[in-house]
Amino acid sequence: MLTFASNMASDLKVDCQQESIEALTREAETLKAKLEEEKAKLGDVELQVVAQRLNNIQGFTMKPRRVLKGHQGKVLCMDWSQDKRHIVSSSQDGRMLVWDAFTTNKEHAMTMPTTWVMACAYGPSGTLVACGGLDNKCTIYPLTLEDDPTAKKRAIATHTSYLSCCTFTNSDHQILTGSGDSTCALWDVESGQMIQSFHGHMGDVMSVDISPSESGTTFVSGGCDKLANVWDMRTGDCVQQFEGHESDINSVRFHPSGDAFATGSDDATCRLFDLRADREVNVYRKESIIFGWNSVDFSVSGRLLFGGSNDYTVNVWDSLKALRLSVLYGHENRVSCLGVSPDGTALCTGSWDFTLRIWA
Amino acid sequence: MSRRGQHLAADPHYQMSRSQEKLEQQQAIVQQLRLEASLGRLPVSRCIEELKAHCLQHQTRDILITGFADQKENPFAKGKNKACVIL
Repeated sequence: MLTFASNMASDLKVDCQQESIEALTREAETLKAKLEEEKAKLGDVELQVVAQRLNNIQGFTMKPRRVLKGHQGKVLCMDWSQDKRHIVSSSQDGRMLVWDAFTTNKEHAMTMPTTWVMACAYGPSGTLVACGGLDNKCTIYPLTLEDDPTAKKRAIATHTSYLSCCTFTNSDHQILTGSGDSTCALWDVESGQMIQSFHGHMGDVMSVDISPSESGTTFVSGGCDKLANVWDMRTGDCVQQFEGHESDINSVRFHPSGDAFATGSDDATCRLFDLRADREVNVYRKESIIFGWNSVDFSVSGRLLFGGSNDYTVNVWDSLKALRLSVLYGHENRVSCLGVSPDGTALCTGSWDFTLRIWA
Repeated sequence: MSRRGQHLAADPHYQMSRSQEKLEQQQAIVQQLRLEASLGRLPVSRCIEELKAHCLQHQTRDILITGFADQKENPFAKGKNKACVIL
């Protein structure tokens, strides 16, 4: 009898919940339609049309300048130091190297306990680096000339799946991580405490980038759910969500203005999304391009967009006209990562051919 | 469906937790949409004018576009700062 009563109560509750679910589904449909309508109304002109009247970029000449050799596996990630001279890179061979890009000398080498070190980052002060990968952790290595950096290493962040990306905020004290566990998290470097976690992606997070705007309190993430999410770092809320890509997003990078960001995807397109228009405003594609994009970055003005491709090349786009200006040949395997130096004078690319290259 | 599955599906407590899960999922979706619906948006024309203005304003100092006036200033110019080789 008791069981019967309890089952009755459960049935009743399930019915109520069913009703709530239906009401919520209806509300979701209405909201979606309203959003679509509003975005369509505000989509009054296309960027490529406006940009047609602009002058073409003339005399574009970037040359290969340096080859950094030393990794014994695929290069997976790289980051510039704020001194515009040093570079940190990480590799499938389980090693992280710190380079003097001017001389091509290796200044530090750290061996990780795992292979596939998919993420690395240079601390803004230039005195520490961070990395991680299949160990699900983000580990900090202080860079000192006297000691072996591995002696002072410290694991500060732990995810429940691989670490795909990490980046410092504008200080050495906080680091933002993205993971295959479909979350991002902000960590206090000193204590190793999680400050905020970010839930909302429905697939592996592949890339994060912090807004360059002065407040610097938002960041964008891209993942295998084909979505790019914009987050409020203080509250942990996902404040905007951008659809459009037809496959995994591998890379996200803010436009220097802070009002837009670019994405690179396995669907063989790069795209530009504007935060204030809340929609996609440009697509970079060509019929002849069938390979995915692993990494994107802008030149300091935002006019050039660089894309590293699975077809071994780096493409240079006019970000406004969506025209391809140039193709940089040199790598002998997939281009997995790239970055423009902080002063905008050079581009560094990393590849599955075990090398990094500097173009300027 | 397996026998265990049939058994589970008939269990009202199992049904309840399943529907609770669905309810929470749907609540999260609607909450996200409500947040997005409340956002103020700008017309695309204005946003792209500002993106364009930003690029054009900074382009004259974008070395990867303009190149160095003198290659001597380029820290990555050929040969410069190359590692010393002791013969």
